[in-house]
Amino acid sequence: MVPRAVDDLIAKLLSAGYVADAPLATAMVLAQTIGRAVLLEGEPGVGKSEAARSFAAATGATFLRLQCYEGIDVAQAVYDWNYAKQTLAVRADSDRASTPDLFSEAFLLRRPLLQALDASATSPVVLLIDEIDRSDDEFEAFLLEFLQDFAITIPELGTIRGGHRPTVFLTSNRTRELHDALKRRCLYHFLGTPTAEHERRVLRLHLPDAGDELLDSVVRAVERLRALDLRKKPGTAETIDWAKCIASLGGTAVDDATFDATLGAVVKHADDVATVAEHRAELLL
Amino acid sequence: MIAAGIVARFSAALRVAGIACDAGALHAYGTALAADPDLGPYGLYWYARLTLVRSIDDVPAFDRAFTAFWLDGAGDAVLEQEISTAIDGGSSGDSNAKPDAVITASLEERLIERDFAGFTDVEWRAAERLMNEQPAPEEFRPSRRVAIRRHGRRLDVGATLREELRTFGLRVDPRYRVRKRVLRPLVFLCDVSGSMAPYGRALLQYAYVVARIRPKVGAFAFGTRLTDLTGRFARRRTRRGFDLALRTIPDWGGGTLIGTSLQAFNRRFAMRGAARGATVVLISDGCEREDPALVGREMAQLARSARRIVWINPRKSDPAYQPLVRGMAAALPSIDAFLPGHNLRSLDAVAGAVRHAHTAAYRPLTKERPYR
Repeated sequence: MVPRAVDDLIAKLLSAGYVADAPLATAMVLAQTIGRAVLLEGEPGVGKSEAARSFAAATGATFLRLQCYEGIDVAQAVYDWNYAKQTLAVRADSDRASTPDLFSEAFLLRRPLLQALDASATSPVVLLIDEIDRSDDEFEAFLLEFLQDFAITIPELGTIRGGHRPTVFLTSNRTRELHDALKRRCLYHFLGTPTAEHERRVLRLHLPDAGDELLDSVVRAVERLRALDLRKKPGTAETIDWAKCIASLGGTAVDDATFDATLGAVVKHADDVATVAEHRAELLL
Repeated sequence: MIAAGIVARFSAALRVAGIACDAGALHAYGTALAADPDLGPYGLYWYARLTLVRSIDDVPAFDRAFTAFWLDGAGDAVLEQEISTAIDGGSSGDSNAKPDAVITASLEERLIERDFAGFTDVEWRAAERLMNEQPAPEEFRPSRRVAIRRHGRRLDVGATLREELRTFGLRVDPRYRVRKRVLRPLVFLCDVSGSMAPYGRALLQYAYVVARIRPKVGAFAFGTRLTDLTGRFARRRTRRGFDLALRTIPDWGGGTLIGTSLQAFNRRFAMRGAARGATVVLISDGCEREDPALVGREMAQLARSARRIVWINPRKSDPAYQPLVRGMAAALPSIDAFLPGHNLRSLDAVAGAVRHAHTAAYRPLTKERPYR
């Protein structure tokens, strides 16, 4: 039932080290066929950023990442002028009659969004705009223009248009609702908590040498942890960390000895540590 | 190949289910459908969900609409019924209100002092008008961003240089970087359980009015569970929008589980940043049925993520009131201001507490302040 292009992409992602389910791969395929950005929402640690990274690896594209934060602006996201270099150029040429053109490409500092449009790039580009919910409304509004036209206007240089459209991924932890105008320019996909089967495949991919017992017991323990009433439920990233911790300590399963030593890899809130301590016995079953 | 007409009818069905799809989204859906040569139910569903749905909260409604439209065959009958429910849902509620009464100034004056508990529909309308006349409660913090100004303390070399270049160094006119300011978010948490319902409604109404005049307003209602009204308050700008939003609260006038609701708020919203740096205004009588200790813990957690917590308790209008209810007592150590909120005048004081949070006038003296 699943279209062939989607199946192909799932296989490619797998060889790039990412286990994707069909809907996620469908979103990626659609992003290319209809030329829209993919907006991935979900809890921290479910593999939103990793999806974009792996997509770039799987398709042989150049990967660019822009981490958003409150107060991010054009100078950090798009371009800035290299003032130091401009000052030097003015000084060096001060004895000559002509002044150099200070607002030319030579003095331009390219930030990720501009790099994504670089026309000289030979390979396709994947642009990840990470944690867009952390940026503020002004930056979101700026992105609208970028996502609509894939063009950036620099007053001194004119409009820069990409040779080919970059594939854009946006991720959000849902700390706030994104503006509808931004969502309208994206394909929306929510990454939920993975199933045990899915998680086991992810672990197998990350720990090819680990024994089955270790993987099974970690997946089982994480499932039980998620069933508990925790402030922060562990995501897949935590599951992988935990399994790696146990493996690196030479453990073969989640047991009495390894549990306490490695708990910090999955449970990261003081209240949660107390809750887990209460249910320790049933978690270790 | 699916005809464009069917896609359009499907979008109409979605609109009835409360999911608005604009032409751009429909175009994307159409393109996706056309690009897939061997289209099956999988593509039909996932292409639609990826292109037309914009929030995980809409997915259940989308699923219902999708199943009804594509799989039942009797799509039209279901559609008809949903349309009729939507129409019914829109017109009732106002029918017994007769807004023909002329609201006189004296009525408004009396209204200001009246306890919310006895409000009629007409009085609610008048109250809304009065709330509308208030200035927006705003509090600011310094931003990370800077603006370039002619006066300030920190010289901006880049901007000064640009200015200098413009005049070929003839004029040295320094430019400075000055911190911009950012509006602090304002979050309303309203207890709408049985005895609190009129007061919770009043604060919700206030939140609705405030959301119209300033950004960054969150609104939540709780009784036994938490309902997020933020999106509805941000989208709907009509009086009916408010009534419709109230109708989505499943536990209106029911029991109270303050601790559990606060926990839900903390985990789903506050810990993810919705309350970070925010002023949180909470209305409740603090009568916790289950576990007062949980209220204390969750209030402490909330206090750690929010900037300020203003607790409104209508019972406080009684001068003899003592915060002895166990839930209330457990919450006290975590709150910054404790105010009554039983009528419009006291609600005005709440607005003042938000607006002038940084001025001495509303900062309680240490001696009188059992709160943090």
